[in-house]
Amino acid sequence: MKHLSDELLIESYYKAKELKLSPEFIELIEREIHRRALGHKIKLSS
Amino acid sequence: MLSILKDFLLNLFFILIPIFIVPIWIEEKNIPKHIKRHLLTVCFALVIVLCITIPVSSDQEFIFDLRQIPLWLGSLYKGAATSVFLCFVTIGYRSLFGGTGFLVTAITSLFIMVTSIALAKKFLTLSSKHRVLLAAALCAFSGTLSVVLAQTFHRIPSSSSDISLAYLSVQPICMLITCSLKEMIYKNMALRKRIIRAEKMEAVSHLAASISHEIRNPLTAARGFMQLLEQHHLSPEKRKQYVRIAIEELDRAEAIITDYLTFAKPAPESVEKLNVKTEIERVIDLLRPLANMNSVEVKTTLAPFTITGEREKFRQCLLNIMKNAIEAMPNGGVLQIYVSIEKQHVLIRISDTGIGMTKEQIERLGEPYFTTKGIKGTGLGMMVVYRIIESMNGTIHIESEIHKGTEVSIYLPLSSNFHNLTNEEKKLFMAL
Repeated sequence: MKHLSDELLIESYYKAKELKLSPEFIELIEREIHRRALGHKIKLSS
Repeated sequence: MLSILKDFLLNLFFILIPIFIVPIWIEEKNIPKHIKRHLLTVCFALVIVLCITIPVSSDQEFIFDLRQIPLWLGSLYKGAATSVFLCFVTIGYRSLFGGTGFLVTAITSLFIMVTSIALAKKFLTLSSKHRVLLAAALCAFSGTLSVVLAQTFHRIPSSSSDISLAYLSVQPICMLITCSLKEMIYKNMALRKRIIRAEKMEAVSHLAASISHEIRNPLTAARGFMQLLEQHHLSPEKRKQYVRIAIEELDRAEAIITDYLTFAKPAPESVEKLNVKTEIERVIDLLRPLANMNSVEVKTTLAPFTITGEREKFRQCLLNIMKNAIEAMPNGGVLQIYVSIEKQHVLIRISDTGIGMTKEQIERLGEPYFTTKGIKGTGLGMMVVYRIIESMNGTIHIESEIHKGTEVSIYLPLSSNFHNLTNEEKKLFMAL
């Protein structure tokens, strides 16, 4: 997941939520977002 | 009569020495395979020579001794080549003494050789009890054959007939004793090997939980990204990224499974040159899931020195120590692995920042069934470690402090002397 661009990662997060994909998958993406210190981006917009 | 018994016992003693010592010696030391294979054969040949040199009774014509026992044992257990070799040693050495007995020896030895070559394969498939009985029966038969032949060729003087009678009964009994002891030692060794294997399976099953956890993540990710791929209006660029990520995640899962299975699978036992760095890295790969689960950070300072040993066992040994280290840090910590060289020995130092051990616990470490893990431990892991390090002619040193952590230092002989070192190793050596 490390090679995914920041932008696409955030986009994937919202898409995954929208499509109601498995919570484990959403959690994995969230973890990667926090690892990249991009947490503010999803908090701001949600 | 007593003196005859004494001489028989001396012969029996010669036979029992290699049967006891050789297997233990072979197991303890790291001996190359080609020597291992021929060691017992050579020992049996020596025993035959000793038996004939210091016999139970001898006169001008005949020499009575227990040489048929090592001849039978070697031939039956070790196969045709050994059989032929031992047969010629017997006939050759006996020919130096002359007498009618030589002819008897030649005929019986050839008989033993032919019979054992015909029987050897079947013999090894029998159960251990039947092997002992068959060996004793064969020995009784060959003993009788030699006495009968001796009678036919040359009437044995009456003084010798006592001996030949004693010989007929004592030889099979000695064979019975020798063969049962050999089987017992063999069984014992097989049991020890099985303990090592069982211990490995124990480690494998402990790892299974962390592995399955670690595999689930990449699979979930791959599945999720594939679901994302299903959407319409996705630019080719994004599609490409998703596919690449999904494949990467699947590869990661596969790599974890491969590592795990390579370790779990039994490997051939062969002594070879091992690169300390690669071996340690493989074991760390295998343990990474467990370390992640316990939030343990792994730090390494490795160098590619070469040692000699069995790959599988060395890995198992490292795995046991590192697994203990990780399990000693249930709330996370640092696992440090450091490789260096000290006085022609490779030093592998594995330290953790875990719960540590008391002096009493360190002293008891390596005792079978002694564990600090309560019902979770088998008490065999460190025993296996000690055995493996000993078999590689190495030493192990443990220091520990309660609540501070444990440091395990392993010293193993460097496989090549300085002149045979690779350039890289030389540079490292100079740097140290």
